[in-house]
Amino acid sequence: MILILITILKILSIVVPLLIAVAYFTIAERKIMGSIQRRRGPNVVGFIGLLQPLADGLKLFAKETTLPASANTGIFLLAPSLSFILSLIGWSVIPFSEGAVLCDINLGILYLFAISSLNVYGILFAGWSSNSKYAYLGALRSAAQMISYEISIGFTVLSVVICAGSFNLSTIVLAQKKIWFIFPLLPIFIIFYVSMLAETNRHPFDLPEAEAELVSGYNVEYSAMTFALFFLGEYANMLLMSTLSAILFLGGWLPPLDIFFFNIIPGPIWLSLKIIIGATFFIVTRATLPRYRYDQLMFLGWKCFLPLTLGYLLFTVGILISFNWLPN
Amino acid sequence: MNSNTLFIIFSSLLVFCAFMVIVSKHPVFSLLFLVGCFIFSSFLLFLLECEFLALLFIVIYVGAIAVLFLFAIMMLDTKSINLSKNALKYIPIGFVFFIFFLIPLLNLVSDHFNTNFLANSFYFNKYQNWYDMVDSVSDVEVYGHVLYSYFVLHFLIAGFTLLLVLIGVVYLTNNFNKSQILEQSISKQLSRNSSFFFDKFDGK
Repeated sequence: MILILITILKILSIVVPLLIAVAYFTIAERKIMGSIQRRRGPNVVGFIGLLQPLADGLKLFAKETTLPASANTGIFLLAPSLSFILSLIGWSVIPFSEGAVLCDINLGILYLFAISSLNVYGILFAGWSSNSKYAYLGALRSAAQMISYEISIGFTVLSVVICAGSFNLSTIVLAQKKIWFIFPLLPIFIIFYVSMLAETNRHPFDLPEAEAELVSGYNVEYSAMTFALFFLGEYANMLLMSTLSAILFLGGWLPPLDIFFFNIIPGPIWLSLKIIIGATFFIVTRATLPRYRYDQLMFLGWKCFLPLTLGYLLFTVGILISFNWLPN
Repeated sequence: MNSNTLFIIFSSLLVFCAFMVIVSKHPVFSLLFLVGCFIFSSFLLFLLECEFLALLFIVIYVGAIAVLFLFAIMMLDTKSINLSKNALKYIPIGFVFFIFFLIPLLNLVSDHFNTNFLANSFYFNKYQNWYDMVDSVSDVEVYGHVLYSYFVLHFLIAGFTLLLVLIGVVYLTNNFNKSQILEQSISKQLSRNSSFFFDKFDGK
């Protein structure tokens, strides 16, 4: 009984800060985009607009959830909850500091990969069950895009796994004690960052949303809380991907240099700083780059990233074997 | 809640999902239950401590193959097709398949699994395997060792078969008639300047 209570407390201590982080990620996005476009952004609710996300959440909570008459109600309601739950359970394997992880499984990377491949279903079901052309086309685009970029993400992650010699996320971080993987694997890191944008359907690859053509993509028919669940899921996924990039390439909770001055700052703070790099990257690309065309997106995924990551994987393995640097 | 109870829960859910695949009227619902089947069978693999296989099951079957099915079925115009199935018609042939698969399955179960169910239960066999706790090999490593030491040839043959299939599909679907393909050369477009037009329309 006590064990169950402790587990619930552990889960809450991850989920509640995550939801707060998502809320403040949205306001950070609006503020940074505002300053890029030389305007102020939200600044009315609370001190310099800091309570804006709470007000937005309250608005979404108080609104009416409309169910389209021709929609398939069961699946229509299943889809947002599925995408929200899937975006939360990915965090169970993320190590925040040495030993600070909910469950330290051996195949952490593969688990995250399985979760992200299940993510497609939330979107596909949302598009199909809405019984609307816009939602359906958006869902199809989104699913095709997520599947294609999952492959290149898989190969990038695989080269990191080979360098670290383990699927365990904590072991991967500890393998970067001497040098972060961003330095030997810089091209892979750049490809990971770009694929990360496509995987979470963000700009400049936000074709599923494409306001001009598809109104809002797979979530056109959703309102109030059902829409809020999609929104939270998407932003939690963005944070998850930036955390994953921080763990795989930027050394997780490790400080940049192994000296006393850096070591007294606790690990989670270093990790959060590295997550902020990824989150800012998401926002800045959204504010600065125009949207891709769909065939260009597919060209990039299948004809540029896939051969490049595959080749770089072989190259990494070749280097590691020829210099006898393979771990274990 | 020991693993036997969980096994019973998951396997009954699995059987229920498999039944619903056949019974449900709409193909999308059938596929939804098929996905459920895959997920519950991967849960069973988790209970058997084959984590790698279970996760691969989810990544490949649920994440790739079922999504392709879903794509194809969602595109079909299922409303105009009469979907009522006459299940009784298929019982004889189904029974033949049932016998065909049941006999090897029973053989396998009686050969490889412990039929003394008390031996697997919670109250018996409660010893700690200290050797496993000190020097454990994860299942990924075991698969690696077995595949690359005993089944190298089979592994290579499987790889080449897949490559052959890939080339076959590309050959079948590719349009080799160059004149019908619209191509865009980005470097060509970007390197265009005003002389391109002036050379073309010069003196006209």
